[in-house]
Amino acid sequence: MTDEGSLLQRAKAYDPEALTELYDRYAPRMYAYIYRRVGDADLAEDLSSELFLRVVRSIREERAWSTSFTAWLYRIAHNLVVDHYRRLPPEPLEPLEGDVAGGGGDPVDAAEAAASQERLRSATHRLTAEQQEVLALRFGEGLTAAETAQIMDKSTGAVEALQHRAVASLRRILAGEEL
Amino acid sequence: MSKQRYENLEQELRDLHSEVPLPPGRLVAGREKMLAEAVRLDTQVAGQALSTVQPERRVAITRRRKMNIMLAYKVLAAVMAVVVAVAGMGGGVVLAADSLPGDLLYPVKLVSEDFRLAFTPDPAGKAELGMAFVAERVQEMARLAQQGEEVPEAVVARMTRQMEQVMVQIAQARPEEAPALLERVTERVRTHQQTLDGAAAGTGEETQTTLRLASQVMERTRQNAANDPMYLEYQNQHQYEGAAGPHGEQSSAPSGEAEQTQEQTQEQTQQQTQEQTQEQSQEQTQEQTQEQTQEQNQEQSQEQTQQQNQEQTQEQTQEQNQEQTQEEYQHGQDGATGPQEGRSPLTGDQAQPTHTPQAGGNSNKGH
Repeated sequence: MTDEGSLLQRAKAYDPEALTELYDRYAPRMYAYIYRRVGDADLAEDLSSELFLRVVRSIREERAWSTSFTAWLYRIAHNLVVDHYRRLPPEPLEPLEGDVAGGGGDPVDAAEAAASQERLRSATHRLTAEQQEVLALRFGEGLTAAETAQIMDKSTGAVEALQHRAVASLRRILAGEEL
Repeated sequence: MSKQRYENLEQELRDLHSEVPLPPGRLVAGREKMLAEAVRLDTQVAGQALSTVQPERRVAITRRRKMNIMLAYKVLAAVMAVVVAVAGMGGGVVLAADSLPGDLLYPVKLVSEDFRLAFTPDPAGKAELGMAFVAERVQEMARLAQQGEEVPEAVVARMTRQMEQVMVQIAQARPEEAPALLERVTERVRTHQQTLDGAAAGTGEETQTTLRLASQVMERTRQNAANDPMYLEYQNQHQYEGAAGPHGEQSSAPSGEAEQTQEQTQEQTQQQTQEQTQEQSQEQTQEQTQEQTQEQNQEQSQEQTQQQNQEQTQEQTQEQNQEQTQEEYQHGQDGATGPQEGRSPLTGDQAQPTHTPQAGGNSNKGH
């Protein structure tokens, strides 16, 4: 009987087997989520390791995860990513290579069509923490607006609005506009 | 902004996010760190429990006067309860039913429990009754904690004994009754744990320790129940629908243990039929007192062998667990292994999880 409830109860008693199972169940997903946020595999692995240290340290504080364990994990992951970037200076946004930028007529179209993944990732890092989170959850994790709302502790409508603003901001950043 | 562009950017984001390389360290280090931290926290908790149990013994000495008075009440209450029980009426017991440890009528409650158990013939009934009494102890502890009064260790001790008796009785119950009983124990124990953990919030350190000990008894019972071969077999038959988790679940109970239980149950059914025939003949001669003593003797011998068996298997599994966890941690961390002796023997004897790292993404693209 390894449904999540009993698994969590056992994990609360620091049962190593339950903890291992929780880890194996969620660590890959959390690693992937963090990677999508930071774009660095080593860093993502370090942060997900830190995430599960935090989990085991506060798993007895039932209030922390009483609503949804998964949502709790995503929240910790998000905080770790935000903390990490708070310690670092903002990344410079690389200018587009001349030949790529010159491909199309409309600079916005050109930017969208040719933006390298690195450039797009750098651009997302210029968004607010909440905007980054909503994009990573909706497009990276493929979660529904309702699921994202639960993790972010917002209403579904607020998540949709936030997502809309995030995409619009991203487009402006990519187009070279100052925010 | 056109709809067209909006969708392109979303698609770009999806593409961006679909690329996740495998974790360079295969997430192994994180698992080991987490488990090491769990061991550290667990020994910390166990250490706290131990360090506060010791002073509690000192407190117990100062409490001895109170206990002496309680003993006097107990003798008085025993006499009262005998009268009440023999008369077959529960008047005084009904009054005592709501009492708490330290109350005048509390000993009556305890003795009446013993009587009710003694007058319940079959193991399943005894187990049910025992569960009710355990629930009663939990409620007493919660109420005491709520009222800000200290929870006497004697209550935990009695609860532990009653819980153990429940498990012994389930082991003696008919094989077809046992799984349902085990399931009920598992459910109730979980609720009790929640009650105890909830009651501990905001209480003094001493009460918290006592309640934690009680909660640990529940945890141990839950694991014993979950690892019972009969229960596992029952679950395999009734609840499995092919949705096994990544680690083979708990179905791989050692076959030796299963054989042992089969032997036990065979013995039990034999003894039960013996009991029944004896009861029948005795009913004819209407010598009820003899019947009782015989039953009690049989029960005692049954209990003894059962307990011995249980102790043996428990010792074995504990040793196995310790060896396994030691091995795991030794190659997992840089010599900072926590003291294994300090860990509470809460872990069950399930199959050890395989430590195969799982790929985090769907792409092998390096970074």
